[in-house]
Amino acid sequence: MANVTEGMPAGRAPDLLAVSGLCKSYSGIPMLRDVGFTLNPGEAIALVGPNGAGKTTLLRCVAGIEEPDEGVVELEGRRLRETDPEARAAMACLLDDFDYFPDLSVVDHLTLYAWAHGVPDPEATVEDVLRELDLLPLADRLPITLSSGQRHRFGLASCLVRPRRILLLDEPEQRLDAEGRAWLVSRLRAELASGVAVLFASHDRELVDAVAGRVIEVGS
Amino acid sequence: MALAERAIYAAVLLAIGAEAVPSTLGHIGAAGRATVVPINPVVEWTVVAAAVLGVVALARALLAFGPVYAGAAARTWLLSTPVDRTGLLTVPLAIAVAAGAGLAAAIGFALLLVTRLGPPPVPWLTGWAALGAAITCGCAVAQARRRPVPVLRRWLSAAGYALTAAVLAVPLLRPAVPPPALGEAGTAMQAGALALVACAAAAMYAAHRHLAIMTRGTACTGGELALAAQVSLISLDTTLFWPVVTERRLRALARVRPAGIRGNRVAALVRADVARVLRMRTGLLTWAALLPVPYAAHLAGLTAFLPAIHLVAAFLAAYRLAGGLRFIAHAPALRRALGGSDLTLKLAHLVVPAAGAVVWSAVSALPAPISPVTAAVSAAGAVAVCYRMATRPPLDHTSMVVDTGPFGPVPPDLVMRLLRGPALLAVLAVVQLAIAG
Repeated sequence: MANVTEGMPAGRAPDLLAVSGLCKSYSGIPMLRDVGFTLNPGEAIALVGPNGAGKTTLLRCVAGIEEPDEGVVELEGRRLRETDPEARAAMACLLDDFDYFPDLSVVDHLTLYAWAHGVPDPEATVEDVLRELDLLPLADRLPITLSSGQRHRFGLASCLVRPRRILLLDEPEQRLDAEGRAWLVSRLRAELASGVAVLFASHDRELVDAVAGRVIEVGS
Repeated sequence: MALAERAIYAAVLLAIGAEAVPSTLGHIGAAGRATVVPINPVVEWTVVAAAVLGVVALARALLAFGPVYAGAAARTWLLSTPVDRTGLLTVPLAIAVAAGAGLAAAIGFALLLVTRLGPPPVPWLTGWAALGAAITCGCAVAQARRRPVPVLRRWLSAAGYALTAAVLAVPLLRPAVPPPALGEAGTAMQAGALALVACAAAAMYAAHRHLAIMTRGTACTGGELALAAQVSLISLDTTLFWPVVTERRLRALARVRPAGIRGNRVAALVRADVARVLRMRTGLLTWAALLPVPYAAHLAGLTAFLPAIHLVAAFLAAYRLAGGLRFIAHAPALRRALGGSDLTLKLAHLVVPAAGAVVWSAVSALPAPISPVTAAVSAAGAVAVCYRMATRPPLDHTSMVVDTGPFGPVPPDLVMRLLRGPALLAVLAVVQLAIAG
């Protein structure tokens, strides 16, 4: 169960993402209690804690997938709704509900995301992302034929091929080998350097230490 | 109690069948034909081609299910005991043969209804049933011998298309050649039926012998599909069945060429949807296969109901092209990834089924006596029903139940969700009939 509140200074431009007083319970069992924090461009917050502590629930509430019992999630001062096109344009999410069209290949998905979000040079961007995630040999494969690790890299590629201001990632280190984890660290640092805000849940202490500016201990 | 209920349902169905079949066969006779317009031989040949494709589709479906399917208990026996496999699997084989024979006879019956080939019904239907039984047994032998199903399915498709092309080539290359006048081939028809029955008997013997070499693996090749079909039937929810079918097809497909997605946001979404339809051609083939339905209904003497039949067939054709809309409506993560509002995403994925409905309604109305107004209402109605059906929320089988007394407990929410789409279709069908007068 999380019980975290950070102070939010007044009298300045609205934070990119502001979470305040968030409470969520399932069947009367509290998962999140009075959670609050802010996230601004170039910042990274890591959510850590044991299984069942509420990390994924917090991410889902922030993404607008779950409706919190109490509390507010705001994107630049506006209440965040998952169906809001502006929120969708701002947030690239890789959560536990990652989905795909079963009859579109890996490259088709990435191309579609790039064109749909108006990426300036879609073909080159898609190829760069495919190469970066070592997905080029799998580009023409249908997602259903990918292994779980390959599918996870495909999920990461789906987030990276489109414009984003916030990255929401649930255990992005999952199913990545040592080389993949090293790449993830450098990539997330590059994201922060380019002004993207990152909120991620992780069990990997090295990743957390290397990337996160702040750590929220969920369930403490 | 449940057994008694099932017995009552079975008796009711048998009674309906006993009433319907003789009256339909009577309708096929001279008196029934008097009201039907003369038929072009090309149509007859087309129907024969459709029958060939129907048989191929039957064989492919049988292969997908096994066709011999052992339940969980039988599978355990097969895996862990030196059980008599032939004895254990005889009943599943008999069920499969009965299903295959019944479905093939249904194809033959449909041919009886919509063509003027005029064969004597008894040997005709017997021949079709025997053909179905023989095909089922052939599939069972292939299953026992572990023949690769994708290869078999490809061969079947190739054979089916070749036969269909040959049948369709006859009226094109030799227009003077009439369709087979089966009505005048009484003795030959009986001999043919007897030959098919003999083939079926031989195939059954072979299939029965091959049961002895069935393993747990071969006996449950279609287990996943059979289970999904069973659950879908019980829960009245086909969304449990089609994903399994789709997954099997996609696993067989594995790699695809790039879809060539480009253009602005809407154009890219529509191009992707078109690519999906072209990639999974079953939907497109079904769309095309439904084109002659209104004309066939007209030939079968159902002219009075033609507007409603046209609407329902238009919906069925368009709905097969609405895969993208169904996915997008039920995948919030995909909507988030694609960006934009839910409405614009759904409307972009409605373009392909809407175009399909418009073209289908216009083309299918040409040979049948269907007015432009009826065709227009069918197209618009099909699109509306497609949208309602594709975007309906997932069925919730744990919803509140209301005791309605004589009708027992009823889950209103589940019923409402099930009716979302079919109810609109029914209303529009009545409107169609009212407009047609």
